[in-house]
Amino acid sequence: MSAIKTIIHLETDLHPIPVTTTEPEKRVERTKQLFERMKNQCRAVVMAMENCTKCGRCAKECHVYLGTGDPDNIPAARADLMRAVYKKYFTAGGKLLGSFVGARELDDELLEKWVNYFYQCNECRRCAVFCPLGIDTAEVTIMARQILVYLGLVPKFHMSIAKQVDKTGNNMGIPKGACIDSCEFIEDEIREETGVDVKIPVDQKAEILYVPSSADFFTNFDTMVGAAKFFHAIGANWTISSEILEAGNFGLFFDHDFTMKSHNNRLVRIAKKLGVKKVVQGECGHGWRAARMYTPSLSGPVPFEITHIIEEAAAAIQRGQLKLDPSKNDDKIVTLHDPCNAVRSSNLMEEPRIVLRACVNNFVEMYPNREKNFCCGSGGGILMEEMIEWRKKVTQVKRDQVRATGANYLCAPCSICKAQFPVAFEGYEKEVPGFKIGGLMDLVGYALVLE
Amino acid sequence: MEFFIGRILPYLAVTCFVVGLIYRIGRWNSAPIPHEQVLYPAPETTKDVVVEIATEAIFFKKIFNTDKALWFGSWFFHIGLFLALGGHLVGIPFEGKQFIYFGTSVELSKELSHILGSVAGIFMFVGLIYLLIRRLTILEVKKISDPSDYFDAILLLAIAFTGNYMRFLAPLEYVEAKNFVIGILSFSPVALPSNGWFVLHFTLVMILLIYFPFSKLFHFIGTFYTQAISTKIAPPKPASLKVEKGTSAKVVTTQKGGVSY
Ligand code: HEM
Ligand code: SF4
Ligand code: SF4
Ligand code: SF4
Repeated sequence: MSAIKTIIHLETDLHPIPVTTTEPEKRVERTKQLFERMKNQCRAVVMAMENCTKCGRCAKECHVYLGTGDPDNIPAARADLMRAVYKKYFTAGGKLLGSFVGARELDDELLEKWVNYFYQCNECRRCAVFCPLGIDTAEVTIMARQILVYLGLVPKFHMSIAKQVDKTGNNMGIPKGACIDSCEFIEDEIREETGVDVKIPVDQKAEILYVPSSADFFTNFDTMVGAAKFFHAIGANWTISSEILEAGNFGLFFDHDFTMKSHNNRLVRIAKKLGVKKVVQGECGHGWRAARMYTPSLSGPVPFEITHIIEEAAAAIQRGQLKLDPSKNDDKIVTLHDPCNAVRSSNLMEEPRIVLRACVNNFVEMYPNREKNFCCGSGGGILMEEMIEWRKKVTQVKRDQVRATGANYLCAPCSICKAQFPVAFEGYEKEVPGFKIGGLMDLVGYALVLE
Repeated sequence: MEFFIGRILPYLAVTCFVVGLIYRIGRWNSAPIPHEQVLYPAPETTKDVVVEIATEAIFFKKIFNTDKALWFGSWFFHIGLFLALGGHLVGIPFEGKQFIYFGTSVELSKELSHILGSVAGIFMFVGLIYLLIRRLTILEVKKISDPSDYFDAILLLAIAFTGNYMRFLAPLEYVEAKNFVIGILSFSPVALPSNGWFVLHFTLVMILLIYFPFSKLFHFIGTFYTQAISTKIAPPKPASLKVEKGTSAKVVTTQKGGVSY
C-alpha cells in the first residue's frame, strides 16, 4: 500500500509523541505485532473480541449508525474490524476455521477501514450500557487508535492539539500573558455587572486549583464567569494555573500511552507545586473522566482530591452556601444534555440536576437522559473541519431529543459538546427563536446573588 | 463407527471442552484491567454488584427492559437450555424418579420429569427458531453474523430437535441412557443404545462440546468476566463533598413539556 484513503486528514510530524512512522509496506506486519502485545494489556478488549454473541442489540443504540446508516458503524461491526484480525492470528478457532468464524487476514484495505471506522466512533460507551454481555466497544476503539498512533497514523487535528498542549499546557495555545489579560477582563466584566470585586488568582499558592477548559477563555466565556463568581461566593482560596489551563485531555481519545499520560502528569506536577489540597475540574466531559478515572492509574497515587466544579456547586447548594435567584433565568427553558464521559464514565449524574433545579425555574429533561443519553456526536475528539457534514448527520437523534423538550437553552456542560452543538444545530434558531447553547456554570453565574 | 461414537468420541469431546475452557479462562485472566472502567450508575455494595450481575445472567434484564422480542427468543432459549441441562444431570441418574424425595409417587415423578423435559425442549426449540429468523431477517443482525453464528444456532436446534423427537416419538428408557453414561464414566463403555435418534442426539452433543472452545459459546462464563469490569463498586467520592443532612436549600422547580424525571 501506499497512501491510505481516509476520511480524516492525517499528520506526518508526530512530535511530541515519541514514535516513528512505519513505512507503508511494513504497516501490516507491524500492526500484527502491536496488536499481539497490546491485547494482553486490556481485558475489556479481550472480552469484546471473544464474547460478542452477535445479537445486534447495540446497533440501534449507536447514534453514529443511526445517523449515517452505514452498517460498518454498528458497534459490533466496528469491533468486528479488529475481531476478524484477532481471530485470524490469536485464536485457535480463527486459525482452524478461518472465515467461517469471521477471521480475516489483515491487509491494507482492512487497515484503511480501521482508520475510517475507528475514527467514526465517539467513544461514548452508550453501546456498553445496552449490550447484554457488557461489551465496551469504546475500549476497542481506544486500542485501535493507540495502535494507529504507533503506526504513525494520527489525525492532523489531534496532533495539532497534542502539540499545543505540549507547548503551552492547553489546547488553544493560550500563553501566560493572554491568560492574565483575559482574567482581568473577566474581573472587570463582573465588577461592571454586579459591583462586586471578584478576583481570579493566577499561579498563586492556594487550597484549590481550578482547571478550566481553555475554550472558556474564548467561546464559552460565561462558563468561566460563572466559575469565578461561584468560587467567590463560597469564599474559596483558589487559583488557576497558566501552565494548565486545560481540563480536556485529548490523549484519552487516541493516545493513552503518551498524550494522556503526559497531561495527567502535568496536572499532578502543578498541583503539587502549588501545594493545593484539591483540584477542581471545569466543564469538560472527557477531561473529567481522564482526570478522575485515569490519574491514579497513570500518574500514581495523588496527595490531593480531584473533584468537578458541578459536584462542588451541588454540595454548596445543598449546604445552603449559595444565594441564588432562579428568576434571573426565567427567559430560558433549559434542557440538560448529559455529556457521555461525564455521566456514564464518571458519575456526574444527579449533581447537574441539583444545580439546575436551584438555578432555573424552567428545567425540562430530555429523553432518554442520564446514562442512556445520546452523545453530542463529536466525542472521541472528532471535531475536525473535514468531518462537519458527518457531525451534522450523527446529531440527528440529538436534535430530535432537544426538539421534543421545546427548550431554548441547551445546557451542555462539556467543551466538546459546546463546540459540536453550534454545528449540529445550525439553523435551529429559526425553529426556536433565541436558541442558545451554553454550560451549566453559566446558569449558576446568572442566578448567583453576590455580596 | 459405533465404536468411535460410543467409545472414543465422548472422551475426545470432554477433553477438548475442558482443555479449551481452561485455556480460554487463562487467557482472560492474564489480561489485566489497566484502569477504572466502571459504568455508572454503579452499585454501591458488594451485595448490589452480585444482585446486579445475577439478575442480568438469570433474567437478561437489559434486553427485557429494552427489546422484548429479543428477550423472548433469547430468554426462552437459554432457560430451556438450562432446564434441559439440569434435567439431564438429574433425570438420567435418578431415572426420572427424583421427585419421590419430595413425596410424590414413582409414576407422578416420571410424569413430572416428562412435563419438565418437554417444556425445556420446546422453550429451547421455539426460542432458537425465533433467534434464527431474527438473524436472517433483521438487517443489522444479518450484517454482523458470520457463518458460525448460524451454525451455532442450527447445531443447538438440531440437538433440541433430536431430543424432542425422542421424547415424543421415539422414546428411550432413562435406564438405557443411564447405563450408557455410567459405562463411559467408569471407563468401561458399553454398546450404544439401539435407538438411532439417541445416537444422533448424542453425536451432535459431542460435536458441540468439541466445537465449544472455538466458538463464542463460552460467553456463558465470559459474560461474568465482562460485566465485572464495568459493573463494580465505584471509587469513593472525595470526602470534602460530603453534605450534612438537612441543610438543603429550598428551591421550587416548575416543569413544562418534555419528560419529567
Ligand atoms: C449464564 C449463562 C448464559 C448467559 C448469561 C447467556 C447470555 C446470552 C446473551 C445475553 C445472548 C445474546 C442474546 C441472544 O442472541 O440470544 C446470548 C446468545 C446466545 N447464547 Fe447464551 N448465555 C448463557 C449460556 C449459554 C450456553 C450454555 C449456550 C450454549 C451452549 C449459549 C448459547 C447461545 C447462543 C447460540 C446464542 C446466540 C443466539 C442467536 O443466534 O441469536 N448460551 N447468550
Ligand atoms: S462508543 Fe458510542 S459511537 Fe462508539 S460504537 Fe459505541 S455507541 Fe457507537
Ligand atoms: S450488543 Fe453486545 S453482544 Fe450483542 S452484538 Fe452488540 S456487542 Fe455483541
Ligand atoms: S463531547 Fe460531550 S457528549 Fe460528546 S462524547 Fe464528550 S462528553 Fe460525550
